[in-house]
Amino acid sequence: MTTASSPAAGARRSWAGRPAWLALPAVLFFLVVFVLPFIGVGRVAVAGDPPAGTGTFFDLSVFRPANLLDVAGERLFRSVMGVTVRTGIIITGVCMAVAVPFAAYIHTRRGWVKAALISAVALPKLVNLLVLLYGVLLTLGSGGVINDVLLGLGIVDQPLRLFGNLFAVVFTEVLVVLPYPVLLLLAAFEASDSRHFDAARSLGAGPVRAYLETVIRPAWPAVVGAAIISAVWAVGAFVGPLVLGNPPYYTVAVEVYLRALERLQWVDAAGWAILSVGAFGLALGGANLVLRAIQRRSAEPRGGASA
Amino acid sequence: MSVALGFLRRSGFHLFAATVVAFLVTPFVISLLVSFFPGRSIGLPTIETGLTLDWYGIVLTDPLYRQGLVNSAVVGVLVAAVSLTLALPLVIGLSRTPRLRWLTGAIVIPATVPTVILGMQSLVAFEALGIRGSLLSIVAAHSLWGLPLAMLVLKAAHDRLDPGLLEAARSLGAGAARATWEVTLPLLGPALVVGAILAFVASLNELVMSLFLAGGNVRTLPTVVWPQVRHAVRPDVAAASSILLVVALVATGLAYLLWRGQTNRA
Repeated sequence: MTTASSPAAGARRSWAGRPAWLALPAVLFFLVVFVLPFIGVGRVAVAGDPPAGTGTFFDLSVFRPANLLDVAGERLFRSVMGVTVRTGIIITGVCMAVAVPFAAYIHTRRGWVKAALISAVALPKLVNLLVLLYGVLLTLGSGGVINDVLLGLGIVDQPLRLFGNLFAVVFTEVLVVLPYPVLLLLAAFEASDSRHFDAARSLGAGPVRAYLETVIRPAWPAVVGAAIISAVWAVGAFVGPLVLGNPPYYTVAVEVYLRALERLQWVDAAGWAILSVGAFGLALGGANLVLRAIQRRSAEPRGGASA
Repeated sequence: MSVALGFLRRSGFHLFAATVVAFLVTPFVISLLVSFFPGRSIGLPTIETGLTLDWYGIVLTDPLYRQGLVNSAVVGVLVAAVSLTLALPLVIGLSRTPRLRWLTGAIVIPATVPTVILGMQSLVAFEALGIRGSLLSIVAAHSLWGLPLAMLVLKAAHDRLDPGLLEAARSLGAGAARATWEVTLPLLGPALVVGAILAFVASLNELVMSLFLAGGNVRTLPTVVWPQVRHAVRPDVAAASSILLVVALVATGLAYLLWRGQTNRA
């Protein structure tokens, strides 16, 4: 054990031992570029509309909390929230229905096949959204690959209209969201102990049952977590509904974009943004609490609190 | 009977996986193929039509596309630099200050917020500061994504470092700063490059925040391509998209090789 020879040496060691100040630049950046602007959106949401001819987008001399009540009371807002929630649930459901078995498939592969599958899953996250959108437009278009195949096989006489509908929105957004649950589940499955699987097999369980019991069941919190992450991205859906959907499929994100950048109604856009973040934050925060409760319960030793 | 059922089950599983892979990969392959189609309309090149690189020539010589490409590259490099400059001291600081570990979760929050919300708040803040449409505003907004990526990569690499090496340097008389400079930084070298590349790729691929902030001469390539994807599907858009695809894939491949080198060394 060493002792400080002087106050200066002590101060130096304290600096070296706990240099918390090194985190300061990142914390300041986080506050200035993320937290304060979010508060700013909240302030704009309760500001006044700008006086005509001023060239501004809001009037901060006005403080009108009733703006938020006006937005919440709008029939369009409630309807778009409904569309967003419905679309989000469908996207999350499809993602999870694909992600769990696909992550299990990747988990059971080895070598270059596994590496190639992981690369394929990560691809939509590594490239620009526009590349993905463009590819989807060419895949679903009237002269696209799917219609070409269907026409070529004689299954249909006329090209099907595959975009401008819910199918196209879900198709696009599943491509955007799917990498998250698959990679998260894969990480959880990789953490499983393969000896448990072998033990279950030696006790007579078939491969599917053994896999379900020793790999997927212990990873249940990760399954719930993957569903929450998918839902976060699904309710934020923007490019799919805007480019491949139609106004009936527009989500809150699309409406915020249209109000802010095309109609220049910043006060209205800020109100939509704040209310939707609040609503989805509450819903997903609640889901997160449920997840933690599940994790706590699964961490408790079986047989209850008999200890 | 059970052998036949097992075979069917395995075949079904392979077929399912092949369908998912086709679903994930097809849009990108088609986008790439269309960029080589010689006609003025959209189509897939065949032996009869042949291939062309004309659309790439158009994209690389068109002033609007070229400016977008240069802006994207400049913004990407600056985002990488900002992200590393903030992430490296943060990771070192957090590793020695356990009570601040919660900051790791806080810094990742922007990566989970819908990009339209990030765009809206950046729009309001940078308009109020009078810098909306500037390079600075786009770099700052993109760094909201770059910083968490760089931090997570550096943290993973830093956690693998042998603390004995730093202690050895300190016991030989090096101060905290010198030990970090002489020991920690060289060992983190590949992770620094990986973090920079991932932040660069995230910036290169970012569309939504750029839509809210771009303006005047400061337009990134995705914002140049965006109106054409919304309103017209042309082969030059496929070429521009494919350039983004190739740059992102090459950069990510490089990052993967460097990361593998780092983990093998640890």
